[in-house]
Order: sequence, then C-alpha cells, then structure tokens
Amino acid sequence: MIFNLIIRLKPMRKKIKLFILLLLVGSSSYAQHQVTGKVTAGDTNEPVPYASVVLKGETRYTTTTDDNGNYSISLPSGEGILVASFVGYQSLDVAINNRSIIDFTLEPDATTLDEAMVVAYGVVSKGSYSGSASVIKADKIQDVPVVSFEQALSGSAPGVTLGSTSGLPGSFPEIRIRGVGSMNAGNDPLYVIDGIPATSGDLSTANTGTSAMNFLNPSDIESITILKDAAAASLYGSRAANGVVLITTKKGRSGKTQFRFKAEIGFSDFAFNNHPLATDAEHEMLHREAWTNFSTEYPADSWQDPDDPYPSQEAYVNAMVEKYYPSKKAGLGYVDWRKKLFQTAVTQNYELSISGGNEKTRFFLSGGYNKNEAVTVGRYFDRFSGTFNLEHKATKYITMGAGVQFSNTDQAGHQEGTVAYDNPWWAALSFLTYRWPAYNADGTYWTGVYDPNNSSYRSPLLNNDTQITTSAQTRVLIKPWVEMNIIDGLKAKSTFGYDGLYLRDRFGWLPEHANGQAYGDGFYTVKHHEYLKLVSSTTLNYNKTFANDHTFGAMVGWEAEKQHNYHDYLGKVDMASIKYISLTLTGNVLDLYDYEDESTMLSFLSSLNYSYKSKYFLTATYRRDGSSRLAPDHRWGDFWSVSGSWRIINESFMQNISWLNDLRVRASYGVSGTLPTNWYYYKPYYRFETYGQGDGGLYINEPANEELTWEKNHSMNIALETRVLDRVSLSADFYIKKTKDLLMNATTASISGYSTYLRNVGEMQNKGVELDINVDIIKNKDITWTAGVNWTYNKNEITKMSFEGEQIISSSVFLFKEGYSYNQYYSREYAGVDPQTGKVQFYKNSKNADGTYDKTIVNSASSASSIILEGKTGDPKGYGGITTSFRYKNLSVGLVFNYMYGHYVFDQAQDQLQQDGGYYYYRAISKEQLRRWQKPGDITDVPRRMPGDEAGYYNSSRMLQKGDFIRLKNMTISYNLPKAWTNKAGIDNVRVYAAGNNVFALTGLYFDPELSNARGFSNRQTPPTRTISFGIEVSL
Amino acid sequence: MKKYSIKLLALLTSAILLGSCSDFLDTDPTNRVPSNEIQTIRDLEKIVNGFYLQMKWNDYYGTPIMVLGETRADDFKPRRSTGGFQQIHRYDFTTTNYSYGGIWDKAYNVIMNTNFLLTLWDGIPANTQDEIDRKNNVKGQLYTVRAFCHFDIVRLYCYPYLKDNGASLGAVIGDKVFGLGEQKARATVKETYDFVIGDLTEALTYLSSDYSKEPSPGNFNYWGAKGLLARVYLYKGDYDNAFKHADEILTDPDNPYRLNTNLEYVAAWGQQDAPETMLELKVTIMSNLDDNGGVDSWYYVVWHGPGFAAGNLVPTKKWFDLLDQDPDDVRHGLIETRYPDPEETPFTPFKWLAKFPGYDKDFKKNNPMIMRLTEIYLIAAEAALKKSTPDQAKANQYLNAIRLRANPALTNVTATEDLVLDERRKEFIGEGHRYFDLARLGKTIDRTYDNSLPGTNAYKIVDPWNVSGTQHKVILPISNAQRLANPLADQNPGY
Repeated sequence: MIFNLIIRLKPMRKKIKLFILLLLVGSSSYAQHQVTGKVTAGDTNEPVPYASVVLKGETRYTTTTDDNGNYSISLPSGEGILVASFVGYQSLDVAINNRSIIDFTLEPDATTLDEAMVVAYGVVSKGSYSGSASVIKADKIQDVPVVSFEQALSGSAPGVTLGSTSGLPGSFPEIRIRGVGSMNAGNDPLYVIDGIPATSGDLSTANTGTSAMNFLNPSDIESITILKDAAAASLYGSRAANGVVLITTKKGRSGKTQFRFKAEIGFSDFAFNNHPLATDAEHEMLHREAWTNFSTEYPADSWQDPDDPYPSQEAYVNAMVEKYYPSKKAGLGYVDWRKKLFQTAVTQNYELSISGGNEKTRFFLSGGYNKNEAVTVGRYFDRFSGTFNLEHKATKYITMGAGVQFSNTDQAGHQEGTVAYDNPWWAALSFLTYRWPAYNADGTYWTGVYDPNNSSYRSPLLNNDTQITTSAQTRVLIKPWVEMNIIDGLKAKSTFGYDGLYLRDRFGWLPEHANGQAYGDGFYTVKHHEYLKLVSSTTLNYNKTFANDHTFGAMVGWEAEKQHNYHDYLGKVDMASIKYISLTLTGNVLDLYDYEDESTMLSFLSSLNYSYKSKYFLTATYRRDGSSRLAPDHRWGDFWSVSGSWRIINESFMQNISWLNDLRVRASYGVSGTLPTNWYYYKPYYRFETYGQGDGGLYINEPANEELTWEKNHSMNIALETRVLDRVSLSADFYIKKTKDLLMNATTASISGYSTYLRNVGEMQNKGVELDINVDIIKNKDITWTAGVNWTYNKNEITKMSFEGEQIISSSVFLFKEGYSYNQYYSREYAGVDPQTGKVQFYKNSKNADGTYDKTIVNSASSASSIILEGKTGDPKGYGGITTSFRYKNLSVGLVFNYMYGHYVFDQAQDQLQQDGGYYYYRAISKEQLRRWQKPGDITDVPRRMPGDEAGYYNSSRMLQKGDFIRLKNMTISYNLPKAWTNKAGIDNVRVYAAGNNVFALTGLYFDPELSNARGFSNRQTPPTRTISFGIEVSL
Repeated sequence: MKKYSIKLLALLTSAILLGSCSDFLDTDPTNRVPSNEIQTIRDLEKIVNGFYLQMKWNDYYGTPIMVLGETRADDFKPRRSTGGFQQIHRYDFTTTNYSYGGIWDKAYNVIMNTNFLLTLWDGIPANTQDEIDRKNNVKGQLYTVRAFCHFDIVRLYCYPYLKDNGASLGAVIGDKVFGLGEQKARATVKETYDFVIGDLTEALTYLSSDYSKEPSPGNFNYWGAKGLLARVYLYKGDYDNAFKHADEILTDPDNPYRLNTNLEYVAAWGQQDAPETMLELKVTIMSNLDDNGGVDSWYYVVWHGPGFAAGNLVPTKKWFDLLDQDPDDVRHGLIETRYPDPEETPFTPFKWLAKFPGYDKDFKKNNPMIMRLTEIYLIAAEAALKKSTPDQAKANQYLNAIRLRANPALTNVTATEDLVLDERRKEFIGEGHRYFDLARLGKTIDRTYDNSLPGTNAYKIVDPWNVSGTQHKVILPISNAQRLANPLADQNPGY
C-alpha cells in the first residue's frame, strides 16, 4: 500500500487519452494489462455513457464510459472478470482472458432484482436483500405536481397509505406503513435523508399545517426506499417500528457537465364536487316543507299560538321561511360563496440543476423556486430550495463528500376543522346560503349577523382577510462524510449531520375580526422554533469473498444524536395599524415564554451477512439504543433482526426451466421499537405559572413513570419473488407485526393524582399481505409498455388494554377495546326512517341485564346509546395502486391509480348539512336532503323535515359511508423533441410534458374520498385539490 | 496514507468516547423544575400557590363547581336547549361521560400536590422565627387545601351527611402520596368529614402565628381555614361547632376583614381584594381561567355579550321574584336587562346576572370567589338558630347585618331558617352555593316553574335525600374508567 502511494505521486500523463481515466491513476502506471471497449444498450443499440466498468471483487479498478460509451481501464493482470453496469440495465460479467478489447451489450433490467438499492446504513443489490422494502425512483415522482414528495407516494408502493389533513399546499400528510402500530407514541415513519435521520412531522403552530418535509424539492430526490419489516428497518432501532423512509438525493456523475432547466406552470382546483348543496329554489322549498310539516303537526305552537296567532297556516309558513331564509334585499351584493372564497390556484415551478465532475470530484447543484397559490383565496406556499452534493476522491484510500440542502419556505394557511368561520371551507360548506349578502351597496363587506344564535359569526370574507396564519421555515441540512478504504474489503465511513430547522409562525386576528375584538383591539402572536439536530455516525465495513463461493460481510458502528429545540412565543393585543403588523406595532403583552428542550440518543449497531454461491443469504442485525427520554435503568434497549433468503433460481436443478427467470423466497423476524413522544416523562417536574400579582405557583400536573420503556414491535415477514417469461414479475409478502409493551395512556386510580398515565401495558397486532405484480406487455426498440398492480390487506387489532374490558373513546367516534381495530367506530346506531311517519330512528342500545343490547327503536338521539358498530372500521379491506407506463419512440405516458375499498369514512360535516330541518335553521342544506321522507310509504334514509325534531344529525352510524374509491392519482405525458432538431440547436434534449394530480375519482361518496384522515375521519378540512401542470425541461 | 488513517481513526475513537459520556443522555428542559430541586421555603411557598392555581382553572373552580352548584338547583338555568349546561341542569349523568366529570380527577390531582409537598416539607431548613412562621404557614395551607378538596369530593360525589349521619359511601381518602396504579377503597361520609375536620384542626395550629393572620386574599390564612371549618361543620349539621368557629371569627378583634358597605357593594364585584374577601382564586391576564382566554369559563357563560356561550346561563324567574320583593335591595345593581335588538329578532328581552364584570372591567379577569365574610355571618346566623342552645339574639344580629347592608332602610327581623336561606340565595347567586345548601338540609328542589326542561318531568322536583327511581343522580357517579382502575372504590347506588 505504501508502495502504491509513492507510485501514485509520480506524474504519469503519457498513457492518458481521456480525462476521465484519471480515476485510477494510482494503479495505472503499475498496471500490466490495458482493456478498452464500448458499452452499448441492447434495446436501443445506442452507446451508454456513464456506465461503470469494474474488475469484479477489486473495486479499486473501476472506470466509467464517456459520452460515446467508450471506456479504457488498466488492470493488474489479464485475469479476472470485468463487470459493466448501468442503472436500469442488467450488469454483465465478461471474463477478460487476456483480451485487450471487450465490448459490452447491456440488456434492459426489467426484473430490477439486481438493482442496487439504498437500505439502512448501506447499499445492496436487490437480489441479495432479505428484508422487505419498496423503492420508488425519481422518474415516478419527478413530474407529479405536488409540493412535497410524500403526496406522490400514494399508490406507488404496497403497504403505504396517506391520510389527508388539508388540501392547502404544504400541509402535513399522515403516512402509515403497514397500518397503525402505536396508540400514544406516534405512528409516523422515520425519515432518513442521505443517512441522516431528519426532523419530520407536522410542525405547524400557527394553524397552517406545515410538514417538515416541505423543504425538499422532489426533483432533488434520486430514490426513496421504504423499509417495512424488521430486517430492513431494525438497524434504526428505537425509531423504526413505523417503518423508515430513506431519501437519497441526486449525486453528480463524472463526464460532461450537464445543465438541466425545468419550468412548469399548473392550475389547481378542488378535485371533487364536495358536498353538493341544494339550489336556491330547493333551499326555499325545503324550508317551506319543514315549516308546513311543523305547523300541521303543532298548530298550537305555530300559527294558532294564542300568544302570537297568524291569520292562516300559509301566512305562518311564509313568515317562517322569510325569517330563516330571507329574500334577497335590493342594494346588497350576493355571491356564490364557494367561488368567492376559493379560486383556481396557479402554481409555478422553476428548477435548474448542474451536475458533472471528473474521476476525482463529482458534484450536483440545483436550485428551485416553487410558488403555489392555494385554492383558498389569499393563501399560498412558496419555496426556494437548493441542493449541493459534492464528492471528492482525495486519495486512493480516502473519499469524502458533503451534501447540503437549503430551503426557505413561506406559507399562509388558515384554521381547519370546526373553528367557526375562520375555516373558509367550513363556512362555505355549512352556514353560508345563497341569501346571505356579501357586500353592502358601497362594495364594503356586509358584516351583519348571519345566524342570531351565533352572533359572533360574521362575514367570512372579512374573517378570511383578517386572520393571520403564516409560517416561514428556513432549513439547512449539512451532511459531510468521509470514507476510507483501509485494506481491501475493509472500509470505514464517518458521517456527520447538521439539521437546522428554523420556524417563524405568526398567528392572530386583526382588529376588524370578531376574535380580534374579543381579545382587545386585535391579537397577534409570534412563535419561533429552532429544531437543531446533530447526528454523528461511524461504521466499519468488511466484505470478503472466500474460495469464490462464500461471501462474508460485517459492519459495526456507533451513532450519537442530539435534538435540541428552542421555542419562544410572544402574544400581544391592541394593534397600532391594521396594515403594518409587527409586535412593535402591537400594544399590550398577553403572554410570552421561551424554553429549550433536548432529546439525545446513543447507539451501537452491527450487522453480519453471509451468502453462498448467490443462492443462500443470511443477515443478522443488532442495534443497542440509549435514550434520554427514559430513566437510566430502562434507557438501553436491544433491537435486532435475523433474515434469510434462498434464490432458488440459482440452484443447478433450476437451470433448465427457461420460462422461469427468477425465483426466490425470503423470511425475516426481528424487533424494532418506538420511543415515547414525551421527552420528559420519567421524573416528576414542577410547572410554573403566575399567580396573583407579582407572584407565581409551582404545580405537578403530569405523572412521572420511571418504569417507562420502549414500545417493541415484533415483526415477521415471509415473501416470495419471481419472474416468469421474462415479462411478469411478482412479489408477495406476508407479515405479522406485534406491538408489545404498547405505550398507552392507561387508566389509574385518581388517588395517585392522575386518571391516566403513560405505561407500557397494551398490545396491538397488524397482519397483512402485500402483492406487487409488474408486467412488461410490450418491449421493443420503439414501444415499451409496462403495467403493475399492487394490493395490500392489513388487519389491525388491539390485543390487550390496561384492564380487562377497558374501553377508551378516541376522537369521539372511535373506541379502543381489546379484540377490535384501532379504527373501530363507536357511535349511535342509526335505524333509518320510519316509512309511515318519516321520523328518524335509532336503536336504543342500552345494555340489558343479561349483557345484550336493547334493540328497541327510539326517535331521539339522546335516548340512544353509543355502541361498537360491529364491522365498521376505518380500515380498508384492500388498498394499493395500479400503474402503467407506455413509451412510443419519444412519447411516454405514465398513469398511477390508487384505490381503497371496504372501509368506512365518518363524515363529520353532516351534522351541519343534514339537519333535517331540525335545529340550525339558518344554515346551508345538503343536496342529500332532497332524498328526504315526504309521505307515508317513502323508503329513504333521510328523515322528514321537522323543526325542533331531535333529528338525526347527532353523531351516529348515519354519518358513516362506505369509502370505496379508485382515483387517477398521477398522470404524466411527456415528449422528447427529436434529437435531430435539438442537436442543431446544440441542446442535448428537450422534453415537454403535461402532468396531473388527483385527475379524477370514482366513488359512491358525495365528497372527496381522500378528504378523511388516516383513520377515516373527515373533519371539515379543506378538501384535496386537482392540479394540472405543463412543463418543459431542457438539458444542455 | 497510513498516517491519515490512524489520525482519522483516533479522531473517530475520541468522538465515540466523547459521545458515550454518561451525562450525554441526561437532559432537562428549561420550562419546568425537577421536583428534586425544591430547596428553600420560597420554593415551598410557590408550590402552595400552585394549589390555588390549579383550583382556579376551567376544570375546577373556573367553571364546574359553579355550574354544578347553581344549575342543578332552582335559581339558575341554561338559556339554550343544548350543551353541557343543559346536561347538568337535567341531571344527565352517566358513568361513561358527562360534562365536568373530570372534577374528581382534578381534586385528587390537587390533593396529590399537597401530599407531595408534605414529603418535601421536613427537609427544608428554617432557622429564624420568620422562616419558621413561613414554613408553618405552608404546612397549614397544605392541610387546609387538602381538606378543601376532600370536602368538594364529599359534597359532589357523596350523599349529604345529615341524610344518614354519614353512613353512606364517602371519598377515597388521600392522606399520602399514592403510586401510579395503586388502589384504595372509599371511606364513609362520616370518616371523610372526620378527616377533613382533622386536617383543618391541624391546619389551625400551624396557622396560629401573626404571620398567618395577615389578610392574604389569594391564599388560605388562619381566618380562611377557620371559616372553612365553620362551613364544614355547618354541612355536617354540627351547629355548635359551626357557630363556635364562625362567631369566633366575627368577634375576634384581630380579624382584619369587614363587610363591604352598601355603597361599596356593587363596585366591589369589579375589584380584587375587597374588604370582606377572605379567599378568591387569583386570575391574571397572564394566566387566565382557561386556554381559550376565559371564554369557556363560568364567568363568560354568565356574562352576556357576543359569542356562542356568552349569556348561556341566567337566573330563574323564581330568583328574580325573590329579589324583586325589595325593589331597593342594593343587589338589583348586579342585574342588567337586555332589550331586543332589531337585528337579532330571536332574542327576547331578558335579565341577566352582571355580578362578575371582572376587575379592570374585563370579564376574563374574574377571580373565583371562594369565601367572604358575608358567608361567615350567615353561617353564624344559621348555626345560632340550630345549635343545641339556640342563640336567637346572635342569629338576628348576624342576619340583619347582611339584610341591612343590602338595604339600610329595612328594619330588623327575627331570624328564621327560611330567612337565612333566602338571604343566602340573594347573596350567593352565581357563587355556586345553592345546590349544596338544599342538599345538605334535604330540602326539595322545586323547578316546576321551568319550561326549559322538555320531555321529562323527572327532575322538576328533586328531593336530594329521597333518592327513589332515577333520582339517584342527585350525586355524581364514579366514572367507569375509575371503577376499572380502582375496583376497590364502590359505585354510588343506582349507577
């Protein structure tokens, strides 16, 4: 080695024809054998630039092809095997046999089984990997018009679901991998970017909905690997139980410097006609019917009321209709509220990337600007982002590099859910009717009272203009690393990560807003959060093949991680101006605080691989984590996995089966974990607040559990992978995930000071099957057509609660109980409408002495008890995606459908929209009300309209709908202009494309099937949008 | 090359060693104090303040005690037909879920805080007399608060003492720090009263210094503890002792309080630390009654203004009729009338209780009133009538002091139980006393005037001692969750 080092310092230019050959200077002058040749693609007969050519087993001897597919390599001898490989093609081994010219023709690698994939702490070939993981390549997400890559994952990998929290750009999607494994410890996966566990989650503290992953431009991603079973994920130990999303950013390639510019414009609108409302005429008719029903049934309480009689029933009905649905008044402006509060939003996206390098140094540099209007008027999401990845081979032994991501996002949202009129979607959906004015004669907002029962609800236009909900995020991710080849086969790699996330959230109400007035003369708060994460990890890797057949690999390493957060908050009231908003221009302090907190972890990790003749593969991993979140005695936890696979196709007895291209089985078992989300739970703390004037009080209001430890996820996976007829690939996984020591807020006797405390007591199980089938329907030089289907079935069950028979109501309509799903619905049981009377019916469902339920029909919600709605859960019976891509010469089309069926969604919006004339008389009316009962004999599930009825709008199974849907999630059509044209202009490639997201959906629902969250609950949040975009990409 | 490698390896190794320092994994946040860092009397005093802090919130005295004390009785009712207040008004309590069911847990959380402080108390040094007085004051307060919370449990969840002389199920006695998951059976009502009285008697010995006899309107002092003891004896029906303690307060020359005068009366409700205030829970703008800036609190609900919950609870006609018997009563100053607004046609003119404008004219700054000297007068008056040797003169003296304060033009009357109770109704409206007054005496709650109770007449007439049929709901149930976690604690009969 020292000898080589000296040689390396000698100048040696004579043999070099191509600049890129500098790569192997170290050994070239001492080489005894020179090989040149050309690499071409078997499907197109075009040369393959940037293909790598390596001497097998001696990775020091490596080169890449130039623009014309030519390579030249100096080898220590004329013996051995040369391997040529390129992404998307099968690598090809050729024995050298002392030849000096070797050409390679690479065949497209549709099997992808030997593709390199990024996994925990390394890269492996897919064929030798015995864990369960899905890879999503850049081309699947590059054109999808979404702000963050998460939204592009729907349908693209088995076992992955997304729940919507809002249709506003930048909001946080709930990703679930193989179901829900935790009750009180979070169910979000771990995100690892280029080896660094990154800050993730919903960071919003200003009601904007802010996903931490917003910072990353999807175009900067090379690939995403989703680690699903213990074998794949348990090297991430105590954070791996919900799966791991590994993100690899783009790296430079040596050769000609490439410039790529992309510009895109898109248009967004609601993806679905959500909750259609009755028309103006229908509104009036439905009101009239309600008051006619009422005055017919209760004349003494209506038109014949002795205190307030009317000349006739008709006069009474007219008066009531006019009262609750007043005719439009001259001089006032009326609008279509949905058009007034929402718009077709324009999104723009511009990207420039430059990549290139030589054999010593490679780089990738990109910058992007993404500007999104939201569908809600006045709301937006903007992002400046950049990535810089650099890799430098300092010596033959040392390679180093750094990845840097920088981004600045600026976002304005609004409140979601039931927060009165500050959620424009809810306002437009539920309370605004055609006959409430928007403007006064002079064009100013009409700010009268819409609904006298709720006199604080004023103009939603004004409310929309006068709420402050913005969030700005600056993020810097710096990841330097160094890798040493100590001796052949032994490598050390050290990675350091700094993840700095700075959030500036602003929330408040201007003085014109009713809430601003309630607080004073305007209310304004500013929150700063700094999420600083430092990660350092070092691994030592050894790989060696003995006697040609036995390959061993071993890895040991350690990792330290520190998450240090700083938060401050200042709230003031009484604004100086309604236009210039700052704390300086706001008067009295309402509240302020700052604090820091910290969570640290120390880990030791190791893995061991053995394979024999590429037939048998065995892997074991072990990680030991120590976390600051647990008491010293319970702080250290062990996480491990064992896995194996058998590549049957490589057995000699399989060699003659020509139709079978691949066959292998794999199995794994292991334990990963989840930490409590609460950082300080093991010792008691006093909280502090002011008490009286100039004094304060200390109090303990959180239990401390010294026994708290990891939630442990025991996961088993068995899988089969095959490829037949060189066209059809199939992989099938069966898994059982058992969560033990489930962290749950277990009930305790109040005498301890608390009613619940976090405790490792419960158990939960997810069982499932994943299927992934891909077919190459046509593959020839001009046309390729592939199609794929993936399908997942997951069954969730809570298998142990803290006490026998314990039930915990969750989010008002779910129930946690042993033997039931985490997403089991619990509510009143709707019994439809009495065909004779039109009255709403519920089952009483009070418990009889013998334990059965009283199934008597009652006509009021308050007489009916909630019960477990057997068989109705938010869990689908199946979900997945259907993908297809088609290429004809320069034109390609890609479609991704996602689907889900067998689950129920709970439509919370119904309690306002389907009042059956009962209570919120001033509100909008759903089109569904047209199906109401009208006369004896009518069979319907919508009761008669009757004011004062204890109507069906209380939470009940009436609000549960079958959620089945299939949706064209993503669609891209792209066309590469003919090379003949572009080359004349000196341009490598020009690609024009059109893309769509949420293009259309088929469903029985009358609202967006993906409006609901990951549990199936839909809570009046802004619905998902459809975006159609057009772009051009120019490569130089 | 090798040198590089060695250097790098050395660097990495040192990083490992650095990283594995044991304290790398020990972290504390900066927004709370570890309980093992409590070291001074000053710290103890902050913890005592913490008791009151927790009690003022929206899950205890900020709202539920007031709603449970008023809307279950006959002087207050909800103005709308839905919501949690209506639930309470209709006695709609179940073992799974009801409004304000969390008060059981809350009271025990405060009790746990008192017991936890007791474990720290011995270890804190006190050297000077001043320090000894302050340290004793801490212990006196913690006993008082512990008694106070147990007393709330027994009056909410247990039958009144006089119903069966305390034989029925009482509180789970929180006399020490209990571990998470530990279980304990309920004592009887009598045992609970004995425990409460024991704590208060103990408290008075620790509060006997001059330091503890200073007025401290945000904390229990000697007078507050003694007043509470008088109240507990009154509920227990031990009128001799009730009278003794109330009378001692009123006749003690060191007593720093006096009644608000007729002229001060109305304005005093918009002030802090009025002359007669013995204990009010301190609310500041920095720490409101609840997370919603006060708008979920009792005071918002009673106050009339824009907003969904505002003005949701109003006094009944029955109560207004009582007050209207004397048009010159100063307490008419606490009533406001609202006339219809042409824009808001469904509103009919109605009268509402404007007793709690908040100090600084901000309804969000209402200090929940726990005890004031007027109550001591009325306890003394009632107990004087009922004690084993009735003292009509004292009864007359104390009752008339309150009556004539309300209207100096009145003439003295001879005190009777009914007159004292009516005076309590007029005086304590909105302060959460009425239901407990009726319950402790077993008096029928007559709400036949009220047409806001649709559907059922079950709770139009409530006899808190005769709990036949569905009337077991006169006391609150132990939640199902608690029954699972603490099967030793029996459920109240009927639930």
